Amino acid sequence: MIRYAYYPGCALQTVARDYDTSLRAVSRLLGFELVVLEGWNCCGAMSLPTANYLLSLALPARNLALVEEIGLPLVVACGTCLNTLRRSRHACNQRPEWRSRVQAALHRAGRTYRGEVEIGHALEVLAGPLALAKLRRQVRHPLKGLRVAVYYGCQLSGPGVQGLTPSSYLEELMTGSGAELVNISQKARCCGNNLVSTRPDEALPLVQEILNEAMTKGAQYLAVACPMCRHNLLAAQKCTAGCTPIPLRIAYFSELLAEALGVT
Amino acid sequence: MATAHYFPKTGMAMAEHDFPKLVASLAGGASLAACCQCGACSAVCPVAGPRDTVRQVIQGVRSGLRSWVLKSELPRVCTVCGYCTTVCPQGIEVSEVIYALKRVVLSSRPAGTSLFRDCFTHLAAALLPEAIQEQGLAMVLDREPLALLAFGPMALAMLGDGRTELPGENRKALVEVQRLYQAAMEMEAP
Ligand code: SF4
Ligand code: SF4
Repeated sequence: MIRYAYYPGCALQTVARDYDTSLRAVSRLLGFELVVLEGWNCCGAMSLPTANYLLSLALPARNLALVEEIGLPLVVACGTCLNTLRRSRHACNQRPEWRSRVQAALHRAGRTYRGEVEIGHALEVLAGPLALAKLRRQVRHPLKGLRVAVYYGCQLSGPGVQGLTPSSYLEELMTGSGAELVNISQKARCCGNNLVSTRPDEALPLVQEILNEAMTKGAQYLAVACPMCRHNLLAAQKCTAGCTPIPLRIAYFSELLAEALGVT
Repeated sequence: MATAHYFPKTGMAMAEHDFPKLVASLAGGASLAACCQCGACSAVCPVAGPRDTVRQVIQGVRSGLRSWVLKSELPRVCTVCGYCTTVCPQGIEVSEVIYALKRVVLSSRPAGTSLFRDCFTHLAAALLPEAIQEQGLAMVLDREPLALLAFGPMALAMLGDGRTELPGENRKALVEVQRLYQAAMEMEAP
């Protein structure tokens, strides 16, 4: 078993419990132990920089300090958490003046952060070459005939510093589970983030375009890797409910993997 | 003609020379001077549409056009997708600049609205069922607003149902977050 510190984040503890459960089960089967980070705090999401810039770097850095204390690489499952934690690390590593201010703030809370933590998304771990080989070997109920489109959203496909480097993690995991891949051109498009709550009239049509493309191309499932994306895609779907004969199912990639691996 | 496009339609707006400095410092020291007005950021922005573009807003900030910039829709609708930062050939962290503008927009709203509350209401809306949002949020803000910072929307489940005490591990995290908050309030630039 390879051990990782696991930062679940608020969403996986509230609306995205299915993501949390399936991710842990699948990770275990593929040889990874996710050790929940004890005493973690909210990453502040994309809301905090608007209220206080220093705090928006220091609050995630406290989590990074906790990770350093246990000396494991960190894995997260939410696009927003990934971005926020990497943003904090980036600012601390690239800008000495912010680093010293973050450290001064952390010091008051009795923590130190050295800037050494590796921060990865669960996709990067589970779609590594060895894990993929293991997945292919262990599939018990191949997702044969299931037409799956994948969706990364902006945070998981965006800037190299903060998002994932361009990749095909989701594609490989889905084909590895035996699913038939449906290519959509909008897989890296932004899901609208909190604009879906604040300006639904503007944001929802953009999200609906993503769903429409997937459906037009005949996808039955849309595999996602971020709770915010799923929330917004579902919201957009609700608006068109009734108009589409066979609704597209929007699932976390780990739920599909769990099915293929026979996790009950 | 070409240069006319470089400048937002300003009407009688007055330039405020401290404004670019304020924004740059709120954006963690972004170097707005480096912007070459190429428009790459506007081209990838998912919310650009018919409104003011990212490039124009950057130029507006640089020119000190505070009231024009604050009236612009962009800071309000920006989803912080980060595409603009990815493509900027000058290495400007454009989305950090928009964060700074979001902050100026929010704090220029009428007194009495809590910056904090505004920030977290949307997050709570995305993560929690409607029924417990309003009442729970009010209760948490009333009893221990920093629990929102420490535990995000989970704070509503922890404190919003009238339960009195946080479990030990959470209490410890909350105390540390309170100290972080205090430190940040003392150190944060304007
Ligand atoms: S991409 Fe960068 S340099 Fe080009 S207009 Fe936008 S901020 Fe300026
Ligand atoms: S971060 Fe904001 S301004 Fe930049 S591209 Fe995304 S929506 Fe547009």
